Order: sequence, then structure tokens, then C-alpha cells
Amino acid sequence: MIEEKENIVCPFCGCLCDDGVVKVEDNKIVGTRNLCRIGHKKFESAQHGRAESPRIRKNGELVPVTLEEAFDKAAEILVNAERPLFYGWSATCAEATQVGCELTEACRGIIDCTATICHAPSIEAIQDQGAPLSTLGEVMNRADLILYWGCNPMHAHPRHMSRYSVYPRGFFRKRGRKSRTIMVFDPRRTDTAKLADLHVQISPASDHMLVHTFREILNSYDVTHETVAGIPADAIRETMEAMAQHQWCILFFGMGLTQQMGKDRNIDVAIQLMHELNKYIGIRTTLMPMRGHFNVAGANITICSETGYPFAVDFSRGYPRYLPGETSAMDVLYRGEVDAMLNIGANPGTSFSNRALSHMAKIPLINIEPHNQQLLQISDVVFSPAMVGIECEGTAYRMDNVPIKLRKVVEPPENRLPDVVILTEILKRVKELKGKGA
Amino acid sequence: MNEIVLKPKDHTRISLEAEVITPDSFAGKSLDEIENMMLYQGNRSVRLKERFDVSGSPCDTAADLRIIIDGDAPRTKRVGEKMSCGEIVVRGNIDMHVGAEMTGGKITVEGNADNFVGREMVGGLIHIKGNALDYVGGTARGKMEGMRGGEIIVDGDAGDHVGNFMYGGVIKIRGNVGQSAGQHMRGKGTIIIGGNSWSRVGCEAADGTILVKGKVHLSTASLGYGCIGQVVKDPELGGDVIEGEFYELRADMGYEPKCGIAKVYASVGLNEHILPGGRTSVPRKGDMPVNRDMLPYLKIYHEEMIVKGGKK
Repeated sequence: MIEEKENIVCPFCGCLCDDGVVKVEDNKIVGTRNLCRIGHKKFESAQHGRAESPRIRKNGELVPVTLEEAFDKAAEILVNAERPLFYGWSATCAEATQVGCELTEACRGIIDCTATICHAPSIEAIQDQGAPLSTLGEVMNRADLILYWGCNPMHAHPRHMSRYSVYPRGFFRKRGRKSRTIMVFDPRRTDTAKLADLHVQISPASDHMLVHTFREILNSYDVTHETVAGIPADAIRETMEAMAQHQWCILFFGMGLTQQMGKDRNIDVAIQLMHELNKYIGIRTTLMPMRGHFNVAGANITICSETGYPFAVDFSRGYPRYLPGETSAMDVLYRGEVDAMLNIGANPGTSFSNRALSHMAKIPLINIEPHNQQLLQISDVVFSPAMVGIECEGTAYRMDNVPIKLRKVVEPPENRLPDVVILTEILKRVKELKGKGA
Repeated sequence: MNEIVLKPKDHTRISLEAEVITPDSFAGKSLDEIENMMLYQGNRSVRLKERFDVSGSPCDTAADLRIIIDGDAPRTKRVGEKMSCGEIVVRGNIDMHVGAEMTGGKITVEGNADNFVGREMVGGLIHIKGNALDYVGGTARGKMEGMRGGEIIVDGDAGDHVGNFMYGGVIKIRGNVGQSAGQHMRGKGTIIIGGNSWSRVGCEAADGTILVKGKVHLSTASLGYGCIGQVVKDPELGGDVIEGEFYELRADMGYEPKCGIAKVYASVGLNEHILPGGRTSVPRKGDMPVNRDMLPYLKIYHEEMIVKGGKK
């Protein structure tokens, strides 16, 4: 008999849609309702292609072992390491990250989350400039001007527009889409751009220049060049005038702004633009990064609440230190400084550079990952955990930093423990070994 | 002047944190005491004699002390941090944070330096004879005050974000610099760039002066969309008169209009593209400033690549 579980939170992207319906038959997920295609696929394929658990590499082959042996081996690797790196945390729950911070402190290593290769520039810019933020509920009820800059929610966050920003009817925006203006800034004619009222097709890597030109106009300086960032100066003035006709504006930005040349400086100048729109024109303006993984915001928030810094925290001296460029995961891997690594809730196999990966191949690597992924080929200890939000509970943070409780839908397969339990067991053994050494 | 010579023994991959290598902490100590000072490496600590051969003549006053690191130390961080007097000479490459927060004295590096040269320095002189990487005279993340005084000279190229959050002092780069030189400058600092500057010179600078003798890339700079000022001949900057004709430009609006206006001087001969109606230049391959193969750590990395060896 098919059982329909309602109000299930989708653990895929930063939207964390909480109205999903999952159909379960004999502890098998057979279908979903309400979710987008990505969310549907996440649930549908969750129980396929699972990695065997647990395994240890012996003579170049991953061989199945008991959980106890794998915990001991993982703890031994971490205790013997001089500069261990604990990376990932964005596809697991906040509780696991909490234990991860404690484990990092016990091993005196570095903890970093996937934001380091995604929205870390946004965080750095917010540290420099501050940021006017809001929740998605506020956007739904109030926003009448929505800017999507360097992001493509139609493909990456498919229900973002229908649930939070563009289409829903809000308290002050009773006519839904008709009450709102959508502007998209993107070098490509994406599917989001096709829906927009205005698509500003800027030339690649010139976002900083365009944002700056908006600021010049707001500060009553003249635009002296005929075209800026591939856009005629008149069109830029008209865009600015159109923006000024609105009451409440939100800027959603993505990798297009954070991971191109200038990185945090692009966000820096965008925050300045928001500030000046608030100040000179009186449009209430906020901004929000379009976070990717379902709990990458939670990883930042949890690490920040535990250590005081949002990512790239170095415990090598016993107390937390933070300096992206010196203590961030990519930099220490690039320099070959790491001598052991624990990866959880991330897939560096597809997102790290070749040089970082080739160093990871040389060092002992503990991998906590439910599915068969590229990184298994170079992992030394493999745990296949229960999936957060599908096979066990946990807390995740939405892209507007609102915590949402993830729910359990099906029972995990045999021998699959939650991330929290795996990390707690490793932490227990690390503390025992450290105690013996002292 | 008394000299203490530290000869690096071997290169480790994990960086040493050697903030004790300053004349201030060496002064008044015997060679034996210096040999037993603690350095940090990863989550361990090692004695100085395990990584360096120590020789020379100690002395009691830091101002009369010269520390010589006789060789390559590409994985030794924080040399000369918070030093107030005396001298340090590095005969090779050095890692990050050289001369960070220093208040006086002199550091000479005969090779290349990694990131954060003279981070948040207040006084003294740092002379890098090779290249320097990013954040020369800059600031640590989250701090709002970079270099406040003193002088940094780089004979080669420098990376991105030269003089980030700079409040004072002088930075002279003889070669090219990367992007965002002088960003967030807040005080009366001066940056003089001998070569070309990559994009976004003086972005969000509120005060201070930047002079570029070569080309200013407009392709991604905010520069030039505002006012084009007058042409200035032989401006006097950082105690020197710089020969040539320069456009005087407004760098950025800064945080608030009341903050003052940072100035950028760009040479007249090479920067016609800045003028209103000028074509925005497309970056070419030869324009990229820093030769990134010069990085000291890449050298180590490539040595290891040759040795290869599979997994452990």
C-alpha cells in the first residue's frame, strides 16, 4: 500500500520547500508531489547507487570492514595528522556541523565548508560593508522589484520564483506577478531572462563596472562613455529611472557575481548600491545570496556560532583563527599543507581544481558520503551515512537563514548511521587517543 | 651591528609560524636560548634549532641586531611580525605575513614574498627584491584598518589588492600590479605603480593617492566614467617628484561623499582609452601582471610532482 507523507522538506537547494509530498511503499520511495524536478530526483534516486559501508583501503582496494574498525582507523588518521582539514558540511545537518567543530578543535585542524568555493565572497563583503537582509516571507509580501543578478533560478532553484519571489500573492502585492517587476542581469539569455520584464544583457565579467555606473548616476555624476559593460549609457539611465519607480526591491545574486573576477568586490559594490538606493531614493532595498546546497547557509551559521568565524577556521594553535587566503580549504590544498582530510556532505571530486585533487590523492582521506561519487577512488576510509532529510532528521537553514527541521521519510538501510553518530564516535576515539598520548 | 644567522635546514610542506624571529625577541638572549625558542608547525610545536642552524653574535639591544635568514624559507610565515627595530635580511623566498604589524626597523627579502607583506604595518621599511603576492600592505579579513605608516618597496610585480584598506604610508611597486590596487583606501596613503595596473584601481577608495606610470586597464575599472580631471605635470608623491604627464582622475565615490576623494594619476601617453568616448580596452594575454610561476610554493609543489610516488 502506498503511503503519502505530507509536509516533507526537500533537502536539495537553499529554498528548502516544505510542502512536499512523498509516496512511500514498503520503505521505498516511489514518487513525489509538489516538488520541482530536481527535488523529485533527489528523493527518487536517494535509495539507488548507495555506497557500501563502511570500507577501508587496503593494498589499494576498498574492502568492507566493521564499523568499529573504520571508526578506529579514522580516529588514528586524524590524531596522527599535523594539519587535518575538515571540509564539506553543506549537505548535512547543523547538529553534525556542531560535532564537526568540536572534532576540529580536538584534532586542532581546519574546518571549512563548501561556501569557500561558492558564496564566501558574499560573506567577506558583508563583513566589510554590512548588508541589508530580509527573509523570503518579506520578499513575498512586499517586493515589487526583483533583481536577479548572475543567477538562473529557473534551473538552479526551480521553485524559488513560484514560492517566494515572483508569482505568489503577498499581503501588499495582491496581484502576484502583475504587481511585480522582474529584471535579470545576465550575459546569457537564460530561461529566467526570458520571463523577465527587462533583461540587461551585459558583457561578461563587467558586472562591477555596471553596478558602479548605477552608483555614479545615483550620486549625480555623469556617464561619460557611450557604452558601459556593453549597454548604451542611455539604457543604463533609463534602467535606473525604472528602478526608482518602485517601493521595495530585492537583489538576488548568484555565482555570476561571486565567482567572477573581483569576487567579493562585486558584492561589496552591490551592497553600496543597495545602501544608496535606500538613502537617496527611498526604495526599501535588501539583498540575498542564492545559496546552493540545502544547508550551506546552516554550515556558515553553525560554524560561526561555535567558533566565531563563518568558514575557513584554523584551530592549529588551539584557538580559532580566520584568514581566507591562508586558512581556506582551497589554499591549504593548493599549497599542499594538508596531511589528512575528512570530507562530509560535499563532492570536491567535481568542484575542486586538479591541483587540489592531486594533493588529496596523496593524503589519507576519510569520506562520509551516502552515494558512489568520484572521490571514492581516492578515499581511504569510507562511511556511507543515512541521508539527512530522507533517512534521518536534522536542522537546516534556508537561504534567508531561517532554520527548518528536516523530516525522516524512510528507514535507512542496514549499517547506515546518521552523520552525527559517525562524527560523535570518531570524536570519542580521538579524545581517547589524545588522552593516552598526554 | 651584531648579526645572527639562521640557515634553513630543510623544507617542510606545512608552514612554520615563526613570529619569534624578530630582533625584539632575540635581543638579550644567548645563542642557546635562541636555539630553543618555539616555532609552530601545524598543530605541533618545534624548537628553532630543529629547523634552522643558528650562529652569530647575540646582543642586548634589539636596535643593533641584524637577523639573516641565509637561504630559501618559502614555508616560514610571520617573520618579523610586530618588530619595532633592528633589521632582518632574507636571502631567498619567504612565506606569508612578512613584516606584519611591524612598527619600525627594516626587512629586506632578496627573493619573492607570499601574501600579506607588511599587513597592517605602522612604521619601518620592507624591501622585496623579487615579486610579492596579494594584499601587499593590506589587512586581515574583517579588520578595517590596513597599513598606517612606513614604506614597502617591491622591485618586481605585486598581486591583487595592493594597499587594501590603507590608511597611510607609501607603497612603491616597480613592476605591474593585479586588480583592485588601493581598494578601500581611507587615509592619506600613497601607492606608486611603475608598471601597468590591472582593473579597478582605487575601487571604493575614500582618500589617498595612487599613481600608475603604465597603463590603467579600463576594461573592468570604474575609472573614467566620472570626471576626467586636468593633466598634471611632474606631481610630487611620497617624497619624490615623479616625472611625466599624468591625468588626474577621481578614483571612486568612497563610502560617503563627505569622506573626501581619492585620486588616481595615470600617465598621459598610455591611457588615451580613459578619455570620454575612448574605446574600452580588451585585455590581452601579455597584460596580465604577475608571472604566477614565480610563486615560491609552486616551486616546492613542482619538485614534488617530479618525485611523484603514488599514494603514500
